[in-house]
Amino acid sequence: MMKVCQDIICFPESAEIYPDRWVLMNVFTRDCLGIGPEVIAFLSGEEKSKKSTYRVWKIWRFSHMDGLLADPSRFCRDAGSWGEVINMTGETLQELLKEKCILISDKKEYRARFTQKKSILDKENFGNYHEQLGQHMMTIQRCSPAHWWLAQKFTSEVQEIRDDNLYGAVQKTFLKQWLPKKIKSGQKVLDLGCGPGVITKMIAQLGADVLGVDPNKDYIELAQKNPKNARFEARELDSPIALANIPSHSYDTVFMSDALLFYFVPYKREKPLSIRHLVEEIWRILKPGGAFLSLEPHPIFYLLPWLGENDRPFTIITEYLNSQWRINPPLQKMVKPFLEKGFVISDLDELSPASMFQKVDEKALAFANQFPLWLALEMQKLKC
Amino acid sequence: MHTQDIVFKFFDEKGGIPGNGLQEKLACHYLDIKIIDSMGIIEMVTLFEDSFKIRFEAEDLQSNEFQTVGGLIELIDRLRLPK
Repeated sequence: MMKVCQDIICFPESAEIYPDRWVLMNVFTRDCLGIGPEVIAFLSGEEKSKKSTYRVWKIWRFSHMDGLLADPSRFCRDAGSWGEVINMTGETLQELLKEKCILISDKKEYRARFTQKKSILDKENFGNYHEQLGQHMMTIQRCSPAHWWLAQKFTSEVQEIRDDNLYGAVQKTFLKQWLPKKIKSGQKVLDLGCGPGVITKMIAQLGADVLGVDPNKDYIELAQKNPKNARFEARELDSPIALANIPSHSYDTVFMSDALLFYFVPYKREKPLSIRHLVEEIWRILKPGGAFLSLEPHPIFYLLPWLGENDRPFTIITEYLNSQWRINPPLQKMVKPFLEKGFVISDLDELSPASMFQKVDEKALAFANQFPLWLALEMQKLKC
Repeated sequence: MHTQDIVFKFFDEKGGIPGNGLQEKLACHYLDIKIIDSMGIIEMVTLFEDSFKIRFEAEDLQSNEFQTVGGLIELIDRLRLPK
């Protein structure tokens, strides 16, 4: 016996122009269909509403491929470009709705799929965001996740953060005014998980003596091509001795950007990183009065679907404390290890995008203006 | 070279397929027992596509057939047939 899954929502995405086109979404699997309103009646099971054909548009798309901060809603937003309608019989429609987890026959079986993927090719289990991204890249795009990540955050020469997406509008804009306030010329700064070193070089340009470290040798090689007074070293950050040769009380600032999250939801499941050990090491390395600067995806709003109209956007939060899909930790989990060590939060910002972004993507701007995508924290090791 | 030889050679280099006798090895669900990780899967797909001049489609990669050593060999043999 088929039942309508309780995890679904339905909304009129383009109601003004196409009042007969609705989006049907399973908010957990993030699968979507475009439908005519008769499909809603079909789901309600009303005998009177039964028709010989039902209109469906296959509008699901892995929208994250447009960029990590592109619209994460996973459907083709413009109903005008939904393509050809598919007219289906009730039987064919039922099969499709089952495939898309709109209808389910066994709730227990369906819930059992809310777990990690067994391999990059596992399509049965839903997995988390990174697993889904890896699978899409492997099976559909056939490209390297590392290369994709670089391309959507940085310019082609990997020297600057791109201006034409939210990385530029939010992160770069913020860093340009935040870093000079926090880091002074002559200070020693350690950039942990520096990637290809773009932000490390921004810090070096402030006159700081900065060392960028990252486990990815390719990124370090890229960073070293044009180091701009910054130093770079490849270090296995999953090793307990990764930072051991850095003297105690030797740095004014330790900086991490989009890297702390991997200490909570590891990129490599077989090699989990220890947040406790990391905090111990940051504490040891910092001078008394030194600061840990963190710029991480916002604990609540990162990668949530962009719903509603631009003048009143909304979203749906499907998980927070116990996550299956998300890849960044809740606020308490992220901050507590630092507080327990003795750090004190001395500054906090929930980042908003620069208004110039309106010209690039109005919806992205509307969403990011209401729901911050990053959280910046300054935590100090107070002088005793 | 026979498809099975190349496939077995690949897995031998990754530590070998567990099982006693050919049938057991062919039935091995190599993805489940982690003979190869994600990077290994990418390496394997690239190697077989280049060696056999074939292209795995997304449906092939996510098929039940792809999950066992024997299924993989049958799939490759089918893709090698002239269209």
